[in-house]
Amino acid sequence: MADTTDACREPILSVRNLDVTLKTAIGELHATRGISYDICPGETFAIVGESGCGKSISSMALMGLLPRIARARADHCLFDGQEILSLSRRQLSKIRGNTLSMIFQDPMTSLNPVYTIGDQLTEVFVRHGKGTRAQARDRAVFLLERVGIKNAAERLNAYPHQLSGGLRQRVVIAMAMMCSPKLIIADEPTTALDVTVQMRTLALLSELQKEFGLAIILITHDLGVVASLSDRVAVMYAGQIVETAPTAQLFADPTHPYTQGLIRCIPSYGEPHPDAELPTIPGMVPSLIGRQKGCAFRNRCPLAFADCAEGDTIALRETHGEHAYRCLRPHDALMAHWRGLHGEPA
Amino acid sequence: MLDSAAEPVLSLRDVEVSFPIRRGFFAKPGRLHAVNKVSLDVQRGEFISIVGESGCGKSTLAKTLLGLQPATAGTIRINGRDLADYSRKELAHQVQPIFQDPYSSLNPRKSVAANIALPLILSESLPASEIRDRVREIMQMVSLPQRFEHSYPGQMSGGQRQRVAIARALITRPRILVCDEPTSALDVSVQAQILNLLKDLSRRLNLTSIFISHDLSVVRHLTQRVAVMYLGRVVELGASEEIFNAPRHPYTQLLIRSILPPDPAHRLPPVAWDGGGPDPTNPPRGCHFNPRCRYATDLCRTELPPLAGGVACHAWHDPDAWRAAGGQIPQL
Amino acid sequence: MSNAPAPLDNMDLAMPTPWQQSWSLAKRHIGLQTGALIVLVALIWAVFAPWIAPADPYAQDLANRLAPAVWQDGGSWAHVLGTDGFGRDVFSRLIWGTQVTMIVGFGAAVISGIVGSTLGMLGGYLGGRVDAAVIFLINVKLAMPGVLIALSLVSIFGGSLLSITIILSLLFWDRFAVVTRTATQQVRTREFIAAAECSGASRGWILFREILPNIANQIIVIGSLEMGIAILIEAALSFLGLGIQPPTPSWGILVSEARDTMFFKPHLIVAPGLAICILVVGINLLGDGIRDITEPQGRN
Repeated sequence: MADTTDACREPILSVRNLDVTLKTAIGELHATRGISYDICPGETFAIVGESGCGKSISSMALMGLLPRIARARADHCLFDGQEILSLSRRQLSKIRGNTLSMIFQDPMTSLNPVYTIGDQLTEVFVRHGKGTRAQARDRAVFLLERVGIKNAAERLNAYPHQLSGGLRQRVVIAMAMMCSPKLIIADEPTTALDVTVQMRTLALLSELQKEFGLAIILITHDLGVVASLSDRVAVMYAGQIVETAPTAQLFADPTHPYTQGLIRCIPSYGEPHPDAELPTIPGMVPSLIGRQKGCAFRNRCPLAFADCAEGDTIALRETHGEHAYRCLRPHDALMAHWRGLHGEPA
Repeated sequence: MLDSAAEPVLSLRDVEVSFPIRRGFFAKPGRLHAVNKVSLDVQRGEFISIVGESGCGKSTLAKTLLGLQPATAGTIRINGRDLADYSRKELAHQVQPIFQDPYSSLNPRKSVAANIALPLILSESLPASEIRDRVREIMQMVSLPQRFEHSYPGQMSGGQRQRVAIARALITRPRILVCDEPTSALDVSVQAQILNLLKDLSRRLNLTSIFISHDLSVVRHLTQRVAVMYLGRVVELGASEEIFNAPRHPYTQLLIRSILPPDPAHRLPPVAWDGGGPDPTNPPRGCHFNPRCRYATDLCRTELPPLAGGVACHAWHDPDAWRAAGGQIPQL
Repeated sequence: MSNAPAPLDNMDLAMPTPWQQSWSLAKRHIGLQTGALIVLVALIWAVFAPWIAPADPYAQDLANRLAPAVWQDGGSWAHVLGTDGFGRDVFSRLIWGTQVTMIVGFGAAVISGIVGSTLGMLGGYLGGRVDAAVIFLINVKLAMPGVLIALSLVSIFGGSLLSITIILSLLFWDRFAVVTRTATQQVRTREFIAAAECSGASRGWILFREILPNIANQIIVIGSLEMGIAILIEAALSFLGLGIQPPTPSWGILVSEARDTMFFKPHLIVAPGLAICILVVGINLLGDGIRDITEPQGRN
């Protein structure tokens, strides 16, 4: 089963059937099942889903940052032509922060409070043998200015706690850029920021990406962030990609019932009705412990029928373009349901 | 009923909450005004939102209303009686909180029923059987199946825990509910369930709800009135519809522009960095928002505009004079 | 076609209660089980010493001094570990010694636990001046040469069981105070404390009904550690002749009495030494195990 859509000929990252399992006190937890995707150079690929859907842990697996109780298996995970799941700690540390960088949610915890930001920025550069300390300093100043920090040369001597949250996240972004990475994994990069700061940080990421030809994996729970920044999206639910499509197409024709529900329950979606109830997805996410059968969304799905409980998993079906979804219902029926939700004739 | 239509359930007059701070070891100790001269009347059954970014004082205000943080100046009246005159237990029957993080707001070592019953156990001496009945009744009201009674918070999802927190808040049948970002730690699909529940309950129980949030799009679906706070002050106060359709204060306008709709056609604005949030320990002179405001004039840099006519902005206080002086009226 | 799907059977409450989870962890925790077994055996010895011990621990039989142990030439099952220099049955003295050892160890851990945890919780929850006072007390305690003071106190008040227990507990309360203070500060910031305050809870309620259950496992872990140390120090004091006074059978005294015969009757010193060692290891295993199985809940 070819669970993917071939987006480009030479992907910078190619993941096939990534399974991450966690050993817990009460059994084996299937954090992700059969995750497959390709990232092309220069594109932003968003992975969106709710907490516990496996969106973060799948990229932790790529960075070699899994907790001890976790095991990752995959047909392959090729980054820049190199299989990264089997790399040793030392080999991984040559890639991490170099050609593959990561931006975490909380800028306070990703900067070390006892070093100046200048020390932290230049350290990455020198450690990866990109040049001398003086060159590192020049690049740090250049990047800090580029991310919109005034008086960059002076700011190098500042400690993280002297900066506001928004500025700190800019420093983190500059740090991720120090070694000219090919791919940045951004895990909820703006979730901890204020709304007015979030917008600017996203705009910055988007500009940097165009300017430096970066590829970005954007992990988020916020469909607004997805819409404003990404080129392609994968929607994850209970450890699986349930739908993947170019961003515009996903919002125009959300096909999987979960995607449809997710888009509809965003408060800023559509016109507000002060007296009407917000649309919701009833029920809750199933437990991922033990063997998984059939469609994980069936107990919350308005279109579920008996066959949804059958088989190990539901296959990913392609519609047109690069749009694929994991549902037994035909595309027409799903789209008719979507239109029906909006009161249009089915 | 003693409440007449005219008397607000909750009334704030020039409420200030400030903390002593020390900038450096040798520096003169200053004061951080977390809440600065806030006045607000809330009617019975009203659902009002307080919106602003981190550091604007909205959470401090919530703590003050809950009696967790004394006001340093001004008066707060609940049902016409000063907040300071209520005993802790009396206050528990008037005001109850719903906090942001359902993972931290429930005692993990106590069963769901024990968590919910706490306010009842503390404030009334009821027989165990009656407490159990009240707990079951309230669990049904928030759509928690009875089988959860003896489970522990660690076994439940975020949405279920937040239902437990709501049940605990409502068990003493308070008049006022203070919700401090009750859905920001939840997933979108669960968030909608909780918002619907809060809205439904406050209507059914005729609750007065104060909903504190940083997320304007959530507020829009929920409330009749909105107060926008910036650096401890209310900068705009008005009916939800007005605030969303015709925001007047430049800060409210900025907040509304910052909502990211789930629409790929929506473009991000240019990056230009405006310095971001200011230092609350050292607010700028004049209108606190002036360094970030593109309409700011010399007047804004020297004189603090009071909240008048629902907005604290010189441009709107006297639009004609403002235009005559060469100012532009803030537009969304 | 649209008949309902089979429901997801693992829907809710797949998570066990904290008790169930601790129990299922305990069932697989070999260290905890070993520790529990050792402590259980020691407890049984201590409580049922009069019935378990084959002979009176004080009864001297001068005709039968330094009788060999059962595995030695001429040994008999009448005296499993042989007799000591006064002809007393060593095995019986060892069993009776468990009583003294457990009372001193457990008593010192409980008393110092109560004193230290109360101070730590008060300081951590109330903060301000109370906290400053608690920190001052802890610093004073840390600056004092504990064992020296214990030695001089014992020489003043004598080596009765009660005075030894109380003096030892004065040595140990500081670690309880330091740990509970930090733990309380962490729990205090959680929102359920604010919720309890909003429900009209008194300080006492918050300290003992809300905070204490959440830090109890840490107190137990320290308690086990301190109990082990108390047992060791009691043995050391008795060995030096400053602790429990002979002829009371304490393990430390047994070691001390066996000094003279160390070279030709080594088992007389090895047996109580090994008993001390095994019990202390067992207590520590138990404490570590309890910490492992009661990790804070709610990390799904």
